[in-house]
Amino acid sequence: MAAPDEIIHQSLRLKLMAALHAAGGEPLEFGRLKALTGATDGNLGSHLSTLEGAGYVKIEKDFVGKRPRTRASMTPAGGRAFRGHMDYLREIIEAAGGK
Amino acid sequence: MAISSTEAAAALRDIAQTDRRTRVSGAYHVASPHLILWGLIWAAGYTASGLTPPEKWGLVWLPLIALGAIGAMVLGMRTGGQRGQAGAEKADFSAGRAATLALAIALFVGSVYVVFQPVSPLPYLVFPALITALIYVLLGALLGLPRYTAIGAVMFLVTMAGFLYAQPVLPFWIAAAGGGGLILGGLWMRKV
Repeated sequence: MAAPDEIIHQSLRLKLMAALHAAGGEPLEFGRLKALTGATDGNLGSHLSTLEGAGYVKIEKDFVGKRPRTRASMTPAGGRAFRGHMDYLREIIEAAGGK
Repeated sequence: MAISSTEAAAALRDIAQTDRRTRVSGAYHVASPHLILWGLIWAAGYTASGLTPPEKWGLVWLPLIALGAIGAMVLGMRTGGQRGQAGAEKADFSAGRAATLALAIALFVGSVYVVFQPVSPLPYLVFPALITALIYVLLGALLGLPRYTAIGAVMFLVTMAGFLYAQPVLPFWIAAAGGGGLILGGLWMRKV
């Protein structure tokens, strides 16, 4: 049986990982991640830092003209962990009779 | 860490919802500059059509369409470059599909003119706009992209309103409404 991932399972981090996974390796800007997950500035930054600390997410900061830009992308380790956690969730449902 | 089946189902629903939202948002972001580009081409073409006799419309539109096609390829390559190798392959694939679609539409519109032989220049102005509107509505419905459907519906209504109530200034009406609609639609698609 697959193992749960406590870092990923938190509600907002799960959505962040889902968005970055769906982006297929393409970095997503901070503002877009906020819109996609319904996060606020404060909790988005804090949860992205947690994911970065776990090695699941890579954060890049640069400038577009004079405007600062923060982007996040999923690392290969993050992708493996996310898929593993999804497998775990599916197995729980299957074990409960597919409800 | 113990997760109940209810929690697991809720988490998978959240994942599916975010996945869908991200893919739709990605599609809108890729489409946005193309809509703005074709909105500018559209506005320029119809404005020029309003200022030149119908027999010269081919000369007006052919270079503009060529310019649009080159611009679309440049935008496609830029998107692919930003997304790496996988993105470049996807962009090539999309460019191929877009070229096939454009060719099919051009052949269809041309064939309709041959079959119905319009006696006034008005159908030459209105029909491509209606077909474009229909394509946006169909794309939106088939791909589950509601903003495409909304843009197509607005273009259809505005074009028909112009045909029914603004015939003396129809080319300029379609230039402003259709071109403006595409540009605004492109800007709207960035806001996701």
